[in-house]
Amino acid sequence: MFKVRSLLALVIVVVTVIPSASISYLLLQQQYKANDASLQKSLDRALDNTVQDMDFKFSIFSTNFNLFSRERFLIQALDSFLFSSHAFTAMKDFVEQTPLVSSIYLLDRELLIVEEFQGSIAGLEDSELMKRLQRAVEEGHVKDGRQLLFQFRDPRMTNTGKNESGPSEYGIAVLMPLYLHVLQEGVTREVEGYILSVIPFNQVYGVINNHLQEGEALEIIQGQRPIAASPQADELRKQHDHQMAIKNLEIGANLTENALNYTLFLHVKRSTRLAQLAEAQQTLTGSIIVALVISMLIAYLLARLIGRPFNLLSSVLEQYKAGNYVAPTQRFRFMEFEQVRQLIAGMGDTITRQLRTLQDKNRELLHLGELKDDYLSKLTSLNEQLEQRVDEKTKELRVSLSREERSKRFMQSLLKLSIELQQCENNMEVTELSLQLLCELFPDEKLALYFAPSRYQNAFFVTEGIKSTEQLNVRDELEQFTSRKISELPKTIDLHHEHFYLFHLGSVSNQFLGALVVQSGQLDNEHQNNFRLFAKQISAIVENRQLTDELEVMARTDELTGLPNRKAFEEAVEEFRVIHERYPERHYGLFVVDANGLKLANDRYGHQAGDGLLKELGELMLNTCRKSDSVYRLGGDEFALLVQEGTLKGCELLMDRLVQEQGRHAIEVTEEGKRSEYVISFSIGFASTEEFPPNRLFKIADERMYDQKQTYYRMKNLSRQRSESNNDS
Amino acid sequence: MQSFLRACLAISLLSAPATAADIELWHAHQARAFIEQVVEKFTEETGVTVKITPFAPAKVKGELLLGAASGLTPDVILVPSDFLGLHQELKLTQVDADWNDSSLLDSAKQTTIISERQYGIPVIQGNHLMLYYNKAFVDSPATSWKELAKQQEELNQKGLKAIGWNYGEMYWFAPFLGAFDGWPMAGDKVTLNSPAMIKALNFYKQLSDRDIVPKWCDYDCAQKQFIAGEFAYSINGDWAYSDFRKELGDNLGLSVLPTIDGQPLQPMSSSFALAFPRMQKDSETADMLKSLSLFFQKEQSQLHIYHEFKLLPVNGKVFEQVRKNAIGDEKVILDQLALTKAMPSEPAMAITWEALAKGYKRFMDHGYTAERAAKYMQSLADRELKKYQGK
Repeated sequence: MFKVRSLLALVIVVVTVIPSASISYLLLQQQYKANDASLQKSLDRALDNTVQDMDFKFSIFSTNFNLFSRERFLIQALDSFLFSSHAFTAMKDFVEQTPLVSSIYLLDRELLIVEEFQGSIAGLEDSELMKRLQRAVEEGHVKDGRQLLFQFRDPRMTNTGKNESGPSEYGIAVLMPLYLHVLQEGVTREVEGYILSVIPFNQVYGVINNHLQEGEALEIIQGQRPIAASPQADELRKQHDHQMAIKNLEIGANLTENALNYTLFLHVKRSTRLAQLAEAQQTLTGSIIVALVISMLIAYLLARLIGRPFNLLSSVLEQYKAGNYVAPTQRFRFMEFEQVRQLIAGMGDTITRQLRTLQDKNRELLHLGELKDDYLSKLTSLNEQLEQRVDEKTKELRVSLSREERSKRFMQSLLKLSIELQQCENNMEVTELSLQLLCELFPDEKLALYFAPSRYQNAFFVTEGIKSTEQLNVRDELEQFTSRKISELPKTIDLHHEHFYLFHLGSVSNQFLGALVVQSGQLDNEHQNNFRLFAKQISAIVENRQLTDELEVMARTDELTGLPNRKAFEEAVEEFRVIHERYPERHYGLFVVDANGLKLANDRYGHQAGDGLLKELGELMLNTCRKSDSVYRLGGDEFALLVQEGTLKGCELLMDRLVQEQGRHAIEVTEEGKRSEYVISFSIGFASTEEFPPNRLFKIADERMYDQKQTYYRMKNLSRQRSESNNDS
Repeated sequence: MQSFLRACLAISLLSAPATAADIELWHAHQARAFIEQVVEKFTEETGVTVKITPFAPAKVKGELLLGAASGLTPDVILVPSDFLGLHQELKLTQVDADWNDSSLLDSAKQTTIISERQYGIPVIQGNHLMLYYNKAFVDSPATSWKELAKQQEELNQKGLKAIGWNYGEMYWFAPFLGAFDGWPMAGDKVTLNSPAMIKALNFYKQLSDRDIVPKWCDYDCAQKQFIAGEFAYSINGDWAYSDFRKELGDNLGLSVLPTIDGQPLQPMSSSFALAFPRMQKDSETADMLKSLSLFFQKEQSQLHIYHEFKLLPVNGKVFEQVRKNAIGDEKVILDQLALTKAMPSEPAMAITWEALAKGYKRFMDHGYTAERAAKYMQSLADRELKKYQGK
């Protein structure tokens, strides 16, 4: 279906644009014809310039060559080739300063090459050109002061020097005779040699090529024979818009003996060249385009003025269809359109009023719905808060219950520990048991238990979960606390970036007995209290055990001499007997030693002297017997000695050593202020299981001791009687 | 006599214009400092002033010939002894026996005698080619061309060229001809067309075909580019020694030329001699020139030249002293001298050089075979010699 306004716009554009476009086309056609004529003239002119330039360059060459032929070095080199290096330098300079020439040869009168620069000796010697040169010389064509031109085709001679390769294999050789002296015109003389320049057509082409513009190609033709051609020439000739200019080129003419004639063809693609000539045409085309644009703009504005009311009414109807009942307020310029606008506006007002009533009703219903939603949302929130509080209370109760449970379990363990520790026989059992219980109670903790060394026990150190290197470090640290007050010691230590809690084991007098060690970054208060309670419990047991040990030792020690007492002796005798019963070959011996004169010492020098005598005797026996043997004080002045490995011989040896000590030791005594020495004397008796059964040993030894004592006193009385009779006499 | 001469010289000095030198000397020796230093001493002692003009070695022969042809020659020239063969063209004056120092080596004197006439006074001898190398690039110098070819690849990988010399110059080609038992002249006959020449040309060409030596090499390869470290080896004459030592210091190595399949290269040796174009005998200038000649030959000057420039003396006493005390590079210079052959001084030698060069050029650049080039050289030399003898 067509729109009225579109059809109207199309009609207006066609009526406005078509006449303008037709006129423009006719104008452009005229312009094209003028350009064609201009192009041909331009090509002809370019060729004229090219030929003139070539003539000019050749004339310069010819003049220079003529002058160069009079160079003295050339004649000297022909005369003696000792001078040929100078000729070579001169020839080199000539070629370098003459753009057309690529190489040069100095020939003697037989046309043999004397010197050359950038030439091809083999090329010239074997060439057709050389034969032509010889013929020309023989036939007298070479004349004084005249240059003779030869066209030749030989790439060996043309592709040298300045142009290594090019479109042509042809060249022009220019020959000139050399004479020793310059004489008057018309006088004949003998030629000394020749100078030959080579002008390759590549050089000629290069000179011409400088005049060509982009897209142009040139051919140099002699008769029907192409001498040099641009590779694009053939291609351009085949183009439909090909255009060409032709011109004759004469090389030599008046300057040389002979001239060479060529035809130059200049090819061009018309469109390329026209593009360069199209400036004027572009102005015209531009003007036409501007005129067309203006006429189209006018047509557009006109179509818009008429089409706008249609467009507006159409859009109002589209809006009514979409529910927008607002009529345009702007009045139309045309009456018919204005009546339609008023009718539509009236209809729009009626529909709008009815719609507004419906919207009010809807708004009220929406408000009620919102109130209901708000109430429901508040109710849900209240429920959620209640549930959350119930959960929190439940959790608190669970935690409290768990703590109580743990505390109960701990107290039970503590009680169990207390009971079991009482039953332990030594510190090792105490440490092992304590650590075992601690590990059960605190499975996640790394623990150690250290007991400091005491008079009757060595140090103990056990760990659980602590690395061996850290164990050593902790033990070293704890060993330094021995014999120190707990109050002086740290509660935690840091060793090599590890944190340790120390729960010290202390005595009633606050003395350091050991420590419970926990390796942990952070311990809460409850844990610390628990470990502290454990430590207290273990402390009590350890201290108790130390006291018991001390009592036991005291019960078996003689207070005066510090030697084991009778109780210890009896226990030892029983132990020796049991061993001997199991291993009858292991004999032991028993010595009974009794101090002589103890009573006398007590009575005469006081009890201190008697005590000193007993102590000295105990020392004497300890120093005389072996380390493995044991010395006991049985009471009063009586001592005993138990000898391990106590064979009869062994006992006799010990007996000998003891006898040797008789009379060698004394104690210092004071009587009435006088100091004197009281010599120690003792009686000994021994028995070995090698001679007697164990149950008789003590008795035998005691009897033997008694025998010796009696002997001692007998001897002493006898001695005193002798002394008294001596005094009497 | 000596004091009389000095008195004469002093008088002439007083009467001479202050600006003009008494004697003009042309030469083309690379170690020009040795000439300048000896001349300076000479001037100090005698008061005789000398203007020294150094020429490019490649051009000096042509310049002298042109000068002689046009009558423009200096009082004295210092040239290789083979130039004396051109005594006729150079208008050289014969010298008397009393111009020679009593200790002058006879072998050196013989290089200046043409057809039983003496045309110059030798001042140094040797002038022979040797193998120089740069110790920064070469640990042990090649003793044969095969060994050098092996080293070439390694040197190329370091961005170096193997060896350079004045490849197109025939003085450098001559040792290769000698290695194949060839020589440009036998007596007064030209012997260019020989099997040795053909072998030598082919061998010489393949060195550049294999890029052991670049074909384009001129004297710069053997001198400037070798000093600049672009070439590992250089073949150059004893005249270059002092410059090399100054530039390269301890990196300079010297050795005898490499052999071809065990055959040693045979470089030419000659002397450098003072010669006197168009000298008027019994003139004042002749007295000064004789005094200069004797000064160059005397023991003190000869010792100075040897110690400072390692140029071999012509004074017999000094030479004997040098020979006895030679160590290191000095010994190598003498070892290489022992392998040389005296350069012919006959007039024909100058023509032979040119013929050799022209044939060589045709062989290297214009497609001649070695056989054709050798034949061409010979015919050219014969023709030119005939022309020369006919004058």
